[in-house]
Amino acid sequence: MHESLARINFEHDVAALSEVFAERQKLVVHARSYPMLDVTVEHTKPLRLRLQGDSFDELPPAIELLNSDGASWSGPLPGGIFHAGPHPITGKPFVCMRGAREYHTHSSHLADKWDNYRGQDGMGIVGILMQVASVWRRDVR
Amino acid sequence: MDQALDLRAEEADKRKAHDVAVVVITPKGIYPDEDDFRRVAETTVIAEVLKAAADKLKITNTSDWIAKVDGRRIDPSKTFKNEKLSCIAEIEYHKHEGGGGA
Repeated sequence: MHESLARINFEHDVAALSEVFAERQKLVVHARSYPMLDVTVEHTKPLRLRLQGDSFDELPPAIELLNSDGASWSGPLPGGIFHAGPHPITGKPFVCMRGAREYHTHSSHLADKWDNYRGQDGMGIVGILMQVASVWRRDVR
Repeated sequence: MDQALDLRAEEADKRKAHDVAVVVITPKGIYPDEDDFRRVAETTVIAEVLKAAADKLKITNTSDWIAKVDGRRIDPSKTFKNEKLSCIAEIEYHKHEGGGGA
């Protein structure tokens, strides 16, 4: 995918994540410049997510799970969409949810193509972020 | 005359006390907008407000979307009162997550 098109798609999608939006959703935005959206989900146990939107939306965003200091996630994960891994490609814990690149490239889900979801309402970068944040807050006490 | 005005003012106050100030946060933005709330009667069905939000934000398919307030999932087919939502309701509205089990 041409980089300039991916950039336009990324910036168009991430535009919804304004300062007010972040405040209402209790998100701390560390960076939001193409191709990376770096956000901490505020919670009793905060989770930092780094979403890579290179080639978006030909490819879904890659999502890294991080500690709040930006280091790779080192604590326990609740299961469900939060998989302890290691992911066969990244070797790290990962988000096992349609819309995460790590899900669609995992051998268990190769048949569930990103094209099934690409372009749907709520399946942009911000929509995927909202889903992951919502599950984290639900499953982690 | 003064008494009639007082009564009308009292009624308006009562109505206001049973209104809910609503904001809907979606992946496409915030409804009604970033700086405002929509005031609705507590007897309003939540789905009506979600539909208005989807229309304004040009979201066409919300068939598998969920609505939450303070992390609690709410039933859009109910009224704000049925869902015990009063005063201010910030509704998070987005697609349901799918996947897991690799």
